[in-house]
Amino acid sequence: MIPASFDYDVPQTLEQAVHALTQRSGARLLAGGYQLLAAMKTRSVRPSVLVDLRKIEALRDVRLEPKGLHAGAMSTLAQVQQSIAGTRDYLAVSDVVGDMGDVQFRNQATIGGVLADEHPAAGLPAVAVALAASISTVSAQGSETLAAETFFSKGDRSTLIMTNLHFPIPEPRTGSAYLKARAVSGGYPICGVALTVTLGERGVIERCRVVLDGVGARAQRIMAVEDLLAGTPVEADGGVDMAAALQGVQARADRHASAEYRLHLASVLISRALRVAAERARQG
Amino acid sequence: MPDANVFGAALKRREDPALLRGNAKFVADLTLPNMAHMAILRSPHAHARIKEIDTREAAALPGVIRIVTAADLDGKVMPLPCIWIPGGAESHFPSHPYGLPGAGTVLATDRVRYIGDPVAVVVAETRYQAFDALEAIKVDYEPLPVVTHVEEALKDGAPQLHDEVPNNLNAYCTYGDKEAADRAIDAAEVSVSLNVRNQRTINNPIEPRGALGHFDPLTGEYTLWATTQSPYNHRLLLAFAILGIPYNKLRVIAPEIGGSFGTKGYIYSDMPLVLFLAREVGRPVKWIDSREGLMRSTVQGRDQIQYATLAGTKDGKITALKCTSYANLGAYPSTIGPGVATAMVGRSLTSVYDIEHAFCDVYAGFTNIVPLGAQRGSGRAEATLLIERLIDRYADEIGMDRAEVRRKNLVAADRFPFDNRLGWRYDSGNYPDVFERVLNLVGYADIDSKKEEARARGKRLGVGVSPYVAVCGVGPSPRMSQEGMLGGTWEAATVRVTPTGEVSVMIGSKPHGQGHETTMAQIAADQLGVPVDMVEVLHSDTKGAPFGQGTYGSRSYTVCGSAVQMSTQKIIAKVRRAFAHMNEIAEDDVVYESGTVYPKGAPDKAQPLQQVALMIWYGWNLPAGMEPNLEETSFFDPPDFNYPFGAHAAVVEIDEQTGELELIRYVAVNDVGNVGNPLVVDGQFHGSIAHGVGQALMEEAVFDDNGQLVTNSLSEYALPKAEDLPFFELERTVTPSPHNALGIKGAGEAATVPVTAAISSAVCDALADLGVKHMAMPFTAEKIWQAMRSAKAGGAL
Repeated sequence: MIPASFDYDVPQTLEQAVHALTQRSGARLLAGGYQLLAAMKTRSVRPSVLVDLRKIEALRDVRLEPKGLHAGAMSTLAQVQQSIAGTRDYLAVSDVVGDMGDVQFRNQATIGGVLADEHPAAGLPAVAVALAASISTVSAQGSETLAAETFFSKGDRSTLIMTNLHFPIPEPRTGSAYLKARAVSGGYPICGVALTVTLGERGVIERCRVVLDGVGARAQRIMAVEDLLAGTPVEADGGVDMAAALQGVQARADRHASAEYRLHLASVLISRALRVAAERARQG
Repeated sequence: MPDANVFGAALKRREDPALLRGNAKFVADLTLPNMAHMAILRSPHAHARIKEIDTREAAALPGVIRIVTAADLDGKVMPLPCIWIPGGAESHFPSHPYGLPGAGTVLATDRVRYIGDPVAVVVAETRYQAFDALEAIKVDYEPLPVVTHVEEALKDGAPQLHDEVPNNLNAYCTYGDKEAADRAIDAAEVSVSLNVRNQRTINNPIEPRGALGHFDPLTGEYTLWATTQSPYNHRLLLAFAILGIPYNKLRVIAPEIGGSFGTKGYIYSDMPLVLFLAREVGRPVKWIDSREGLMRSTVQGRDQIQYATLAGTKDGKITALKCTSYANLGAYPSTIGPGVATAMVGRSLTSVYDIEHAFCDVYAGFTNIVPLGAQRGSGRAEATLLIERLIDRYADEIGMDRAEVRRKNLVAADRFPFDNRLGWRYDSGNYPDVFERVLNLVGYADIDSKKEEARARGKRLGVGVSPYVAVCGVGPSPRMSQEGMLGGTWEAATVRVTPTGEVSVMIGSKPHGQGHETTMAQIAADQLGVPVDMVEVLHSDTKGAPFGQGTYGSRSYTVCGSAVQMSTQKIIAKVRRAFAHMNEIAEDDVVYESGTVYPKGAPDKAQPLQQVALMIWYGWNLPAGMEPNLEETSFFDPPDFNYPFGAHAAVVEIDEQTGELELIRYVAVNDVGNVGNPLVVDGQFHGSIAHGVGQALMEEAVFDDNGQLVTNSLSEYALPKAEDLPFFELERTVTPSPHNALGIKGAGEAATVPVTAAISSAVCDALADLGVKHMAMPFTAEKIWQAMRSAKAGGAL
């Protein structure tokens, strides 16, 4: 199909963008457009005006800094991929971005677009939470920086413009990984696991962050599993009753997978991601 | 003697530069002056009565030129016809004023029968305005009960779709000898039964359909540019059976077409509508479909449920096969849908095996979902899956190796032509040869060590092997008429040698991705002994091309290619006769060789074809009665079908923990007779295998109980991607067909036929130690995981 009629605005500055977004009801930000334009074509989404952020230079800045990775919200996935190609600090980001779509997609889709859309199985939101990233936004009310976890739990975000992400430098002996099981259609995972692990003496897990996506309505951190794993040797994850630890997790059921299969995959993939992340932690 | 540099050479396709550079012109690329745009309002109900259609508000919207409903077509546009009635069976169709079997009205009159049924059309200045106006048309529907499963539809008390079709039964067909099959099964030492389902699939050519209509009031001539596999057939049906206009007042042009896989050989409502509306509004009218539109209105594939029994001896000799098949035709019979769903399955069931007693009956029924058509390998793929699953069950039952059972029952190489007991007469083949080859290539004898190695990595490895044969090269017209085809199935070609020696080949068949321009040129160049670059191939416009039938049923190369070959031979005969006359020698003393003509024994006096052609066109000195041209037309009606065959092997690995499946090897030995261009043929094999892999592993059109298509976009409907496919390991053998002078067989779809069977067998092999005997496609990870889990828990399967 073709979209219903809409207006189109290309602000040059962030201030203009904030103004354009708040001026009319039904305004939507365009940040790459892979989700939004497809939804508009089926007329399931009908924005009054599209506010395209692509001309705002400040939002496209992506660089490695001493304190971590700074990525403007409008950096493309390809730019993010390139910026971290020389470091082992953000391998979970490489895992997820490198496997999203194809080259054309990664050249067009933006990191802010993916995070703001927050498809329940987009991968990046889970990785952002696992890597303790923070997200900065601006709105008519001012600017704000929140932990990714907090950001995603915020209710209505329709008046916010995401400006940048910050991924901190991981602690020593820390590794990260993202693994997923794909649905056959669409390519979104039916279960994804983003995980960071910090190893202590003799290969014991000192700390870890375990985040699922594609399982519930959004990326969800699984504290019960994190607590269970802390203090155990990596190799002994078989001794951990993962299925029991996942029992409280709300899993979705749809035609791509049942809730019980999603939870089963979560338990398998957590173990596998843990091994990958731990190996990366050892290699430093 | 064929020149290996031309016929048989892996020439790159001459079609590709334009396609790769984006220069090729598809229907969507065409713009005519003053062109208007059409959009189609489709039913949101699977079954409903139309009480009222109110177009007033929509008609007043900006840019709207005309809105048309069924009432406006009454007496002007007739219903669509169906031209393949299952042969020899009682059948019932929607009505058509000419007494033809009907395929439904162009726009719904008082009832809609599937979600997607066309109800009204808007013509507007722009495509956007046309779509906007659709939303403003108000239709008052009274929902009716819905039936989506064919077995349900055939039961007493089911919702009735068509007044003319009692119990929704389009046709009940039988093939083979029922009593003999029953007796043999009763008397057999062993019998196994199975219920096999071929899920419905959605064909997804890269280009959805489109149509552009033009009417010239001065000449009264209509022109249709459309995504059609059969310009001439569609011209005939549109002019004669739908619009009621003189045949010679309709010109049909198929521009570049981005694939079809069986979907564009059908007449759809949009085709007569753009023509009718072009005349009504006095402007060209264009309609282009979307991906979502394609998924809910273009004919779909497969959709067969089969209940079958196979019987044999304890030592592995199959004695009988019996099958009852249910075909879900959807809401209307598509142009050739009923024939595809019946004969192509029923006559193909014994496959490559010598099974003395076989019987199949097919119920073809209507339901409230999208009409069914063909998909690459149609009928034959469903039949092959069934026989191969039964043989695996039989092998398991008698405790014999799967390959050994097949080996014992393959038709022997000295038995051709072979009557398969269900109506096909296989022309030539060597089934044991291809079967042994594929076993060797895949390392069947050594597979246990591969399984052990995989188990050490947490993977279950399985191998499946399926031989196959596929009826292709449609077809002998008298035979097709017995099969219920309303129309001829021959093909035509004109070959013209111009006064300057270039060769034009005009074909009645047409390409939609197959590479006719390259491969037909190779045939003509080889026969005439001229460089292939001197040969052009013209097609796809009924104003220039000879009458032809189109491309479907793996027929173009063998049927139309043979017509090309015949015309070139007539050209050579004429050249020899003219040369004999001009040189005052006997015709028997003229040698035609490598594009030159010379008196026997005097090759130094050779003249190139070009020179003789010029002299013939001048007409100065021709034998008595010879006309001054070098142009010949031939119509070829093959004496019988041809039967490509082969054997495929699939190797899968299944993750023990997650059930995720990876197709790690795919080995295919195919025999399509002589091969004119191995690059093109191997390309067809690649595409064919990918199609089968899609059905085996991921594709499935899902309709809910309300008849709503759940898998209505490519986010929901899975197609195989490059990363899902292994590197294909291909090998070919050559067994020429005796049914055409080139010894060629159909190659466009045969390699799809065994794929679901080979993969199904591989999956069951991987899970065999758990007791899994059969699983329904598609083999998604969760389905496999559930099967492993319930098997481990001791559950029955």
